Amino acid sequence: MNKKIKQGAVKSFIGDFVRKKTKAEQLQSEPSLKLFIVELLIFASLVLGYFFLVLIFLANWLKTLFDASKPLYALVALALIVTQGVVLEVISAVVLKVVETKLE
Amino acid sequence: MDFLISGQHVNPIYLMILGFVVGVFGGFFGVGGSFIAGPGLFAAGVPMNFVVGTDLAHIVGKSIVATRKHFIRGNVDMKLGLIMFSGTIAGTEVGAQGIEYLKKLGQVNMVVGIFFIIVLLSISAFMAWESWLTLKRKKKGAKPRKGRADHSAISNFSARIQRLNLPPMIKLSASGIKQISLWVVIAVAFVGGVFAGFLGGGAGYIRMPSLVYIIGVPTHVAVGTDLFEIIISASYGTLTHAIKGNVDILIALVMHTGAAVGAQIGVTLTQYFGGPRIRMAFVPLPLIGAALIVYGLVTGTQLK
Repeated sequence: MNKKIKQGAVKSFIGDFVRKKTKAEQLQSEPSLKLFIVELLIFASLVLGYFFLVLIFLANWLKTLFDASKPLYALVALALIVTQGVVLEVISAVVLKVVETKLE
Repeated sequence: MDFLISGQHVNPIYLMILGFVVGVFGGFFGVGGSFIAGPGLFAAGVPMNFVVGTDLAHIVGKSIVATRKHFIRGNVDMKLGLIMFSGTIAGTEVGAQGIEYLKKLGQVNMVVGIFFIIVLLSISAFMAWESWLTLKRKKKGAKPRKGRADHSAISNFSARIQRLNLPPMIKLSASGIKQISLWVVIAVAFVGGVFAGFLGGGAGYIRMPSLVYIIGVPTHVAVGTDLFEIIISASYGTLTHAIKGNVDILIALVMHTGAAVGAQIGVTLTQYFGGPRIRMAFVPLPLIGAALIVYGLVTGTQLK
């Protein structure tokens, strides 16, 4: 039962993530300034943590790949930036949902 | 921090702040921000060929973030974006080949730098003139053309372009355009692609004004659609420049962390401003970019 509730919540989150919203829905779903600032601060902290725990350690591996095969490096480079873009966006949406739930 | 692929030592905090500023601008103006990011990287000592390729890579991730936010607000004309795809890809490859040619001649920094300055100054001047005229007319009580939800002092130009009978003609309902020649759309996309491949970034500083002034797309839709188009042109540009050895992806990833935060602020701000005011606020930005390039070219020193 809990698993079904969680799956439903995830589906609803994904739907909200990509669905076009009407003007009324946009106005309703826009976070208040306080929520937006809290979400932004938490998100910025997570991003900084990601930089110090992950990005710093990629330099040597990327250089090795760059020297070994440019086409493969090109694909990996595009995949990395797209993945980072999507993941950071999902994390910001999740943080906003959690902040909304806790503060309202 | 050492970035081994481009062989540069750059402060990562500088890159994150640069990315943050670019993210705010990207979310607000619907442009990739390469008129600031490119010059900012060049001023930090990154060679121009890496500036071009790396900037393209960085804005892919950032544009996905901002495009989604505009998409759910109904600001993305997907049909227009997909039609522009072929012109964008072709133009980007032409631009990238230009960079390779200049690399062989050893002239990439100077030529691209000067070209960048000319483009940025021209765009700034034109948008200042148009936005000022539009705001002046609005104050006098001029109404926008029927069916358009935006003011523009030169909306007659896009109306004439839309009347050009060069089949096939297409309809762009999301942008409120009853008909326009497919060739006009592809030509705009091709020119944008050339700028993207040659100067880096998504060339939103060319594409966004072109969407508004040539095709006649309302500014808010132009912002979102331009961001969608940037994903396509920048993705292709990243691949082709990375294969040519012009992308330091770690620089792009670090910049993007700042941009991801900035884009959220930029997109939220668009709901508080109308079209002409957004365009007027855009005017100083290319000038800042031009100043950074002049600084890099003239002094040869780096901002660290």
